[in-house]
Amino acid sequence: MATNILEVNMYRYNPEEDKFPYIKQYQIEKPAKDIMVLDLLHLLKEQDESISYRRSCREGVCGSDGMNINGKNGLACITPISSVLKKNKIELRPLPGLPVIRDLVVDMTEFYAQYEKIKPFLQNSTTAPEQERLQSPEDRDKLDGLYECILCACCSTSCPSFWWNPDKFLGPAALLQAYRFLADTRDLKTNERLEDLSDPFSVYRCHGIMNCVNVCPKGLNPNKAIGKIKTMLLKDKKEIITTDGAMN
Amino acid sequence: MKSGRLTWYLQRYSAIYFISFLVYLEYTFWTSGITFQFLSSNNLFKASLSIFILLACIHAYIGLWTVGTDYLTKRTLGFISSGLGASANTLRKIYEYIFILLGALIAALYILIIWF
Repeated sequence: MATNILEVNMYRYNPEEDKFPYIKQYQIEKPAKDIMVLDLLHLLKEQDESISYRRSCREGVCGSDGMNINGKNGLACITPISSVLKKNKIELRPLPGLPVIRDLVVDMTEFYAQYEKIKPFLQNSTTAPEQERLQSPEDRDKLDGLYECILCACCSTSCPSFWWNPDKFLGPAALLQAYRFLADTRDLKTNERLEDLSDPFSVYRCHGIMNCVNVCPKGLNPNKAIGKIKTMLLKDKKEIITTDGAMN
Repeated sequence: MKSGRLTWYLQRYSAIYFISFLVYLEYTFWTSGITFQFLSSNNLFKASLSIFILLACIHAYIGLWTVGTDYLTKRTLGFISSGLGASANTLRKIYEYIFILLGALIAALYILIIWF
């Protein structure tokens, strides 16, 4: 193949027309400058209007364009083609493990259902102060590396435990957020949250495979958060919460 | 399996016991020499070997139960055929009962051999 031609192998599936998914090969002239995979998709869409994918902010903030790029999950908008090209070839597939709606668009219902289970909001029944619930800078620092998650699902859909039990194992994204609220000193439902996570599947099905850490486009570490949840679960719950709600 | 905490502790503590037992076995081998006479008369060895066998059965069962709940599910077997997927729960129960039965038989047999 000429070195100025890119070969893009793309997963295609339109349930209204196709009985089975298939891989369609596209050839496109290699752009003069390094572009993102999302830009490459735009160029391909000019060739073939039927290609479907999600996108929105195109700068790694909305998390819409998570996909499997040459075997590794990532956000198309912040992945330069130079970083994934192998012998001038790129293979694009939908995020693995979730039902495909069409082409690179997956049904995220199961993913969001797990997120909903961890109750991703502050629970504090004490009277709210006039302005806001304050935290010390040290307590606020505990949330760094947790709140930045954009729910792109790259981590959960790269996790074999989530592939096999997406209805029981919460997955790294939801667990990162679960720890975000467990670590928040303003949240007073720590024991209840831990009780909800105490079954053998929700957290304990994580075997530390670390795919989540490997693929997170924001550089977060869900595995570390899961380890901290496990430590909290294995401790005596009475030790975790003091009377004023602060976490030991 | 209701408690993740219990299974987690069982797996880890049994693994610690296995290592300790192997160290004890090695120590006994180098200090006393392991003869049939020694094995059949030493109650500490017989008791620790019995505990080893029981814990090994529990440890293996938790591991195999985890494998079963990963791979013998409606979703995973459904990739092969929808019929298999529909009967995944029954197949997994059969798989689990086979291991419980085998584990109980092996444990009973070994403990009988050790003590009688």
